[in-house]
Amino acid sequence: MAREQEEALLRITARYVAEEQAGQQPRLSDYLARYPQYASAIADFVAYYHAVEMYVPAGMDADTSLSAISREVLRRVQARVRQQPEQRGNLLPLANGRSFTLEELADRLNLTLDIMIQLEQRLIEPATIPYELCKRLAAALEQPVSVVQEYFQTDDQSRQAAENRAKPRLWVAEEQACYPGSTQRPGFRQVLKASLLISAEQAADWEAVLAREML
Amino acid sequence: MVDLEVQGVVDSVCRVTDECERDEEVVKRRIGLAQIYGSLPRYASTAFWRTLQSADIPLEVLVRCFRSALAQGDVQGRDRIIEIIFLRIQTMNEYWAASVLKSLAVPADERYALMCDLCADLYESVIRALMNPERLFWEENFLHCLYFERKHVYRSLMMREGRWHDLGVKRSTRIPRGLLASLDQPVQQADNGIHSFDIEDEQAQRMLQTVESFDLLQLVLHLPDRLRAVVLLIFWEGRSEKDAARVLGISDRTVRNRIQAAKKLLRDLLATERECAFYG
Repeated sequence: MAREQEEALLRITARYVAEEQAGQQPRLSDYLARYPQYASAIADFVAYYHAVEMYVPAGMDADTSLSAISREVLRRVQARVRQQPEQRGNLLPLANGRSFTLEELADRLNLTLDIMIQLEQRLIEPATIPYELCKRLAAALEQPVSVVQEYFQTDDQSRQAAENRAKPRLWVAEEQACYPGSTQRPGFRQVLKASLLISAEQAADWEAVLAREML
Repeated sequence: MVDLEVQGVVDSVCRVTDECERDEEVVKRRIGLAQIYGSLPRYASTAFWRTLQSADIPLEVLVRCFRSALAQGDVQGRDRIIEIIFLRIQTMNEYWAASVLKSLAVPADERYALMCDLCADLYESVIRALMNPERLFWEENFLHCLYFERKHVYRSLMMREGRWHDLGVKRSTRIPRGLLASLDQPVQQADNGIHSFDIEDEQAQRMLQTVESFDLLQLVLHLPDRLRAVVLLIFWEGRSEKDAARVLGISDRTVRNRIQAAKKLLRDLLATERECAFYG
């Protein structure tokens, strides 16, 4: 399963669990009908959740020291993990040792915190992010624009396309087709419109940028 | 008819409103977490570590701190944060591991070693997930991501211990006499003249209907992906075959075939389990 589909599945099942824990008794059939492309995975999780996880208390107190099992296991695991290559971090560490919060960065870019979070989490389609935004962000982080652009670019789409090509042909009456929009990232303009925090002046500023860059 | 249509529109409006409200909640939660992360003292200062050790800091914020330490190449900081995270979740994980092993009836002398293995597998998969900055949901709902990791570890344990087997691999199984009798019934002819495999298997049907809800869920976990949803809808949620077909967007015939396939697997499984119990 591609990373974006996995995230979508996590969101859907998290909603199921939240409803279950709130005593709303969610119906599995509603979820299967609404998300047919994830039907098997949802059914798998729901069966596991009700068979195993429901009986594990979630709000257990933190311990003051690691148990013998945890200490031994952690030592073994950390030694194994240390041999693995490290991966790319998130946006703030690009700030060359300067200390920023996301709120401060949002102020410098004339954006809002909710949009900044989505930018940092790469939840916005990179092709729709204006160059002006990359320029402002690069200036704030004292990095070249290319570093910021590279941060937003992920190879998820090409990977997903390759996976789709490699998928075996479905038989008649096997699974319903996926809704293509469900795993696509929203565009910057969409995010701007959906923001709960943006002021009219900020929106106008970015609308002008989008128009100028013909996005 | 009109009433039904109106009800449909009302349902869809409620659903849209409901989803908007939920989206708003998600955004608010993200903002809340970002604010907590933003208000942390300077990284690696004494105040920073003191704050991180307090139980008030959400696990999702600890994940961001871990990833920040990782990006800065601070190995000591990274290990310290992972220790804080594990301190917060170890009781829960050990409870989970113990309850999984309890359901397997593992001999007491093997229990400790198996528990170590289970925890090691879980901790390794959690650390690997945290080290991957593309797995963003860990920064939004730690506990839910943990459920998924535990599900993968649980599944691997069951396969490794031979409790679940690869359905592609043929196993020799002893079929009980009663079931053999039901299999001896002639194959029914469907309306359209095509021979279908609708062998009446009352015993397996009865087993599925009378089995306790908890046991049914355990059994469902043994089934292959394509069969799980159908069995849950019919035997757990009490839907009709027609309803299940509508929900899954497949034909009634496919539903019936999947139920038959599930019953056959269940029959094999129960026969194997009975043999295991008989021979110890």
